[in-house]
Amino acid sequence: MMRKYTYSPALYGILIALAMILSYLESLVPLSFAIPGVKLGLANIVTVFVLYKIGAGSAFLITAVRVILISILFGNIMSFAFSAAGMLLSLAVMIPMKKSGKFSVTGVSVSGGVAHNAGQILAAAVILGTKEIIYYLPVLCISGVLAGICIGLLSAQLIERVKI
Amino acid sequence: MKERKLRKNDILLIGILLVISGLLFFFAYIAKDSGGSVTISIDGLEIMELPLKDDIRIELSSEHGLEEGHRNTLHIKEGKAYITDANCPDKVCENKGSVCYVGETIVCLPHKLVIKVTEGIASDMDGVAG
Ligand SMILES: [Zn+2]
Repeated sequence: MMRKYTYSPALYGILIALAMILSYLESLVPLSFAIPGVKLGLANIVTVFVLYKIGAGSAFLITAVRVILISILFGNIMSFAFSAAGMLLSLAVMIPMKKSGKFSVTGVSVSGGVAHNAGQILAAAVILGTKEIIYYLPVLCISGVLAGICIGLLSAQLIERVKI
Repeated sequence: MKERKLRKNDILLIGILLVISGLLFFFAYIAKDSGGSVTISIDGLEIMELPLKDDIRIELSSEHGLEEGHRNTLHIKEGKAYITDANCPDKVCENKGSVCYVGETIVCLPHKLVIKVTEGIASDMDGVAG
């Protein structure tokens, strides 16, 4: 049985703030593997959480606002392009994966992680005009899977335990 | 909640993605070929091609087309290229280490700098030398 909720702007504010703090925290820990774009993507916990708890539209809204604000505060137009490409492809994969009902949170998050990295690589290949960036794809594919598993397991706990 | 439990489909999906990664690694590996030169591109514009056989050290700065204040030093030593003294925030280009195979790149995203290994001059010379 689903109860009808109306979600307040304050809740969105808190979720966006949380996503931004996670993005910022991650940028403090240089988890660099000598490859651009390899990271855990802690802020995606919020995206996955909202996707399951509220819905696809809200997940898109909160993630888009986070990407825009983080780019304005800490990045530039390039980092915005990479993040936006990663975010769009990631959501474009996760939303139908979740709708299909065939996968758990972890499966959805894993495909989102891989799609996110693929989106960033494609954006980098287009912007820098070098198709050789594609050579990073195997590493980014594996790192996307591993990050997706971590994010999926964490999100699953939150989805079950946190009431909003 | 049914969404929490890892399902057979998830394992299958993860397995398939790992196999695909493995295949990509394999193809990237067999496609490797020691390069003859490196090209330096800044903001998508190729500014220089250097042979890998000659040791050299170049301090890339605004006079090469980098933005004012951006610096990377490119070294070519014993047939390998690498970057030091980069003042970009992420240091990804320095941490990449040395490259020497055709298609390998060193990318400095914050400085829009791409160092790419190409077949270049050496492969022609090998052909002549037979
Ligand atoms: Zn750099």
